[in-house]
Amino acid sequence: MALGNQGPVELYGAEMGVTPRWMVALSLCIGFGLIFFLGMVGGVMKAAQGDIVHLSAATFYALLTLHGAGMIATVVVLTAVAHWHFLRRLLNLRVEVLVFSVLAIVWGLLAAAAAILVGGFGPGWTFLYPLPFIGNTWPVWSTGLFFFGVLFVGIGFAIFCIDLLASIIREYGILNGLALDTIFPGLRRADGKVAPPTVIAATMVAIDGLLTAAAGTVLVIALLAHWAMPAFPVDPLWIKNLTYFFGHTIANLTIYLSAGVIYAVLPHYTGRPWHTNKIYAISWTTSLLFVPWAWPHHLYMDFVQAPWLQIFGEASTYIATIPAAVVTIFGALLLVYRSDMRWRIGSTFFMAGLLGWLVGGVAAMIDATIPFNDVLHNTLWVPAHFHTYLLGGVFLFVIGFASYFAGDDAPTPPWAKVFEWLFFIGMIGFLAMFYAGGIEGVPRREAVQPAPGPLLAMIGTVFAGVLLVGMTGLLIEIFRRGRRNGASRESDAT
Amino acid sequence: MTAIERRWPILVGLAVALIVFDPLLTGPVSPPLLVHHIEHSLILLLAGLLGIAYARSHPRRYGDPTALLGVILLASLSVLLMLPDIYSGVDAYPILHALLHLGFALTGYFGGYLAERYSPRAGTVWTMLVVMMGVITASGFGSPPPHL
Ligand code: HEM
Ligand SMILES: [Cu+2]
Repeated sequence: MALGNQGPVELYGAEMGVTPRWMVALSLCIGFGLIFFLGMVGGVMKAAQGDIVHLSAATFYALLTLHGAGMIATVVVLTAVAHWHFLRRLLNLRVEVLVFSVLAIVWGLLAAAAAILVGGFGPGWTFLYPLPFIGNTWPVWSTGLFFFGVLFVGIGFAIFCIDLLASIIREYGILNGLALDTIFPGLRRADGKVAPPTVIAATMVAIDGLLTAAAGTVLVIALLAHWAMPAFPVDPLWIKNLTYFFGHTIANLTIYLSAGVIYAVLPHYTGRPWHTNKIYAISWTTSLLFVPWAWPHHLYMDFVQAPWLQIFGEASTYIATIPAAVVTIFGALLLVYRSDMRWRIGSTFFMAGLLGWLVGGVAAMIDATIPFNDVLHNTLWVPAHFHTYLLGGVFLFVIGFASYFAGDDAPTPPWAKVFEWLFFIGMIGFLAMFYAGGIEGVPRREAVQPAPGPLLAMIGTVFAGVLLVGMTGLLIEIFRRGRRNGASRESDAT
Repeated sequence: MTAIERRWPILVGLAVALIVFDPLLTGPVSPPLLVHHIEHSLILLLAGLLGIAYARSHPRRYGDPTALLGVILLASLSVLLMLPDIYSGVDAYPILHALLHLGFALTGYFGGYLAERYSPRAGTVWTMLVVMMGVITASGFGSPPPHL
């Protein structure tokens, strides 16, 4: 079982001259650069919907595709790197593998971006079959290039997950990686070592991530085959199921990667350790088992889909989401309650992100409930809820991590507080406009929206601008600190 | 080591050989897509087990990153080999069909071997994933929607 008991395993030692700290810093810079650019793209889209700027329909849909695909791939990199930073010591991870996987993902992202920006590829980041093949506004090569890009993103993520899982097996074994030894005494190790919560989260992500990457590989190869040989038939329903298995799950896993970061980072701010217990083992094992089954909630409108899958998908959505979210949010509150929490940029963003996760999660489950979905399907409610937990959750965790990584010991200076406020006010207003549009039934993914869409989008653009200004200020402050502290911590990785 | 532990690789090897050369016995027929993909997945599974066994029987140095790249490429190759447009052409020629099966066997063997060389138990994980991918392709690769 747990191979960790057998003592250290001999590893290849030769590093490529890249220090872990340098690699994490580089990935953060690339990631935040992309987020900044893609956030501007999002603002331009809102402005177009609000009739502030004019975009041709083809340009709008290309930008929509770029923003969606780019943001998802970027937060995958950012959350994976942040979690890796804490797992490296615990699991003896090697930086070369991180280099491979970040390179593959970024390379895939660039290929997809070229297909979109040069070729005008624009069927949306979910590239639903058969749209990529019948859209006449983009050339055939751009379709193929985009899928090659997606393939590389999947491969990069697979490399990350395989290495993670292999290391967990070496150090703990899969069952003890999930801390199941807290429930089954027979599994207990002689040295009494139990996996910390951040490793539990990593075990779940590594396994579900590999399933996702495997399904994604099959999907993309089928699409590439159809692209190269149009006579090669594919079943649209099968493709749609696989697409959401891949797309939904990989986006979802960024939240679980973030949870792993929270477990490792909050103790730093509260001065209290975050312990593993049975409840973590049970809830994370539950999430591990059910997260891969939540995807059918994207297919409620597909009448040909087997009814049992619809019901099972609905149930799985609840079972997958609730336990890990509840234990993490409660655990965090307990950790913070009556501690001398140091309120820095990092801790503020982590706590705010937990709120975003909670609100967005509730809004998501409303949408995943069939009678509500009948009304909310494909309205702005959908971008409303996922921006709440991606922008207002995952992204806040990533900013929090960057701030921690750059050195978060000094209190936040007043001018940075101003940017913090701008960021949060802009974000809340921006999200509120999405929710308002959803309640009014404004459809999502439309270059031109029916009323009151344009009015809400106009207000939303102003808030998006405020958000972006706040974000820029904060990122500059974090970058400045990172440069100042970087030299003195060159050899250290904590 | 018990006799079973020592001998199972031989038995598995025989089973792989049997499936690989099966087209020579049955002649130029192509089984239904579903059955055919399951058959190919079975070759991957058994050959993967052999690769793992071989890797385990040797003193190991873990963690060679190039092994990881090989593992990823071989996994993608196994899916490519599942494309009906690639393999249906060979069904009419038993020798070519057997060679294709040999391709699956080699992919499975080296994938399992390299993954296990990369890290203990990674070979098992790799083999399970590749079989899963084979099974996924069985339900949708190359099948037009029923109503078309
Ligand atoms: C920085 C501020 C951001 C702005 C101004 C923004 C703006 C937008 C807009 C206007 C849309 C189109 C909604 C529609 O009409 O259907 C959209 C869609 C989307 N956004 Fe954002 N967004 C931001 C941040 C993010 C972040 C951080 C993520 C993910 C981590 C994200 C992921 C997505 C995705 C996946 C879509 C769906 C694309 C599609 O429907 O195909 N966004 N965003
Ligand atoms: Cu065959």
